[in-house]
Amino acid sequence: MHATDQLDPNNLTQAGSGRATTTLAIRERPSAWRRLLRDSKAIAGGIILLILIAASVGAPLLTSYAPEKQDIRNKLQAPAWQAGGDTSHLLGTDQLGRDLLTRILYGGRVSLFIALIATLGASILGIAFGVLSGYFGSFTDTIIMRLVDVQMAFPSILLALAVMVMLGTGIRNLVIVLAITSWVFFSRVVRADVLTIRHRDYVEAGRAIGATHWRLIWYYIAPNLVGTITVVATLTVARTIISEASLSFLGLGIQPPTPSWGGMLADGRGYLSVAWWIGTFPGVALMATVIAVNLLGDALRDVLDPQIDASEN
Amino acid sequence: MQRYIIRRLLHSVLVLFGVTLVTFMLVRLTGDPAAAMLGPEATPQDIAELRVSMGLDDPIFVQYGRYLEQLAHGDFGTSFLYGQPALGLVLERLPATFELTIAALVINLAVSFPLGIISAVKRDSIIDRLSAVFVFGSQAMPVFWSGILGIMVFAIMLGWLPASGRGGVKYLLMPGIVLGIHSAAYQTRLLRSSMLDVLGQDFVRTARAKGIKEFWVIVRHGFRNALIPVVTATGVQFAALMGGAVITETVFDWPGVGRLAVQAINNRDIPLVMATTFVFAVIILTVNLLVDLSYGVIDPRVRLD
Repeated sequence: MHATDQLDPNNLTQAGSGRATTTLAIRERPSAWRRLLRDSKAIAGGIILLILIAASVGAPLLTSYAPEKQDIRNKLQAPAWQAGGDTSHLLGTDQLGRDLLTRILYGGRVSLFIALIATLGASILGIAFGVLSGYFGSFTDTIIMRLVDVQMAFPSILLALAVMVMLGTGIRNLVIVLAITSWVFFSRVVRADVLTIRHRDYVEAGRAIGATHWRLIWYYIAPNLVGTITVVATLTVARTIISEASLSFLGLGIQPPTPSWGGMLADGRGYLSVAWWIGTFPGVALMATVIAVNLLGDALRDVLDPQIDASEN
Repeated sequence: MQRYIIRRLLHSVLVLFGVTLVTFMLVRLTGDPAAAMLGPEATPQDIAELRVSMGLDDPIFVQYGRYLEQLAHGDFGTSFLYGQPALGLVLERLPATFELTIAALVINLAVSFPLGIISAVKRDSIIDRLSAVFVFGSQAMPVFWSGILGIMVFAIMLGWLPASGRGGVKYLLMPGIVLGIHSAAYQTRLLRSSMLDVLGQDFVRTARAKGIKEFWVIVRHGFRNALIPVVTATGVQFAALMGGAVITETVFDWPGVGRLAVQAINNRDIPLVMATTFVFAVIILTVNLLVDLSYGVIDPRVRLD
């Protein structure tokens, strides 16, 4: 195992033929993956996230209730440890008698799925524009960056709301909207990276031997963007989860009866004085997820060490 | 300096122009304003007649040109919902939103500045650790949830503060704190890393070597320089604050522009949507402009031209 941590001594000693004991024990930096596994933030975030993913994916195994099944007779039942509650509904029920824990678990599925797909969409869009902008510069750059300025000039939640109303609700449209509101974060960072990379010697060398634009971008520049993109993507997932919840809270995200954390909190808002649990537990789930993803993103930033301006997130 | 200001102003106007173009296209391409205006009971004839009288059958760029001409006269059209000029409605609500955002900003600074500085100066201390927990926690807590928890604890359980509405300081306290704390998280983090950066530099060591009291080293030499990246980020942060205001206003029934915007959007009140986004954009662009101009004051090395 440790052999891989060190620079191959053969390469060093060949030049000094014979002096095999040149103990230039230059320790190579451990791989990013290895450093990540040593980072306490990464481990904490990773474990929480794994538990949350396992719980939401395995929801049907963990609970026997259906998330949309109403049971009016048992509405607003308190959590198990409180007076009026029992173990049949651990976290209590909502205003329609639906099991809160079940809805939180199924809501997690929807939230995570939407956040991942939207981030993927945003990254594709943002990377494409960022690379175009940074690589070709001049006119293309001006146009794209002005577009970014325009988008930055109003709150993304308003933009999301407006587009959501125009497109109509639904999960597909929600993903589109969330992707549209976060591509700018990718494009700004990617553009900045490309600007510094494109004039490096090896890229110039590639250009000199006649590599096409496509080849230069794909084989010379893109591999250097992976670290930055990984970090931005992770932090974008966290932000997207919150945006989705905000939209659902305002009634324009995931539509009832499909469970969503934001929508459940909006329901809870109407029952704060009689059923505190509805307005509390979905928020706990939301917060735990976002903290976990952010911890992971932070650790990735430390490990991959990209020069990301934290202001983007 | 003058040339810089003029150039930045032109740039802002250009962006504003872009905002109107994008919102206009968004509205026109995704629905029929005439149908939206008349509501679901309208017959196709009604809609067709209104389309003609509104000029909706003209080429889209002609329509956009006409729209810009109206904007130049301060005319955003009449709100479907209220039957009043849209811009007037927005401006009427503006003081409430300013009240909320300024309260939030004050709380933000009161929390983030001391916390950011102390956690950098006393790196890895208990305060630094707690501040990291605060940052992670409040970043992960959307304002609508902290708002709900606040209402539950301080309005319902303790009965100290009103749950919603706008009145005196009592009403302002909870929404202001919720929004302020949320936005302080990022600021704290940025100030901490910026302070760490500055405190490690030669001129800080020189200042210490000269025998300047540690307090003044931190404030005059450290903080003042650490402020630059914080101010730079203020523009983006301010947009986020306004976005947070939209949700905070909704949670607390705060009668500001944000809630008006949500109402307008939910009711497809197009003139009102256009007016709110336009006003939001103007505010954010103005703040950005002021931020850019303030560089010269904070950092005399910066020459704006």
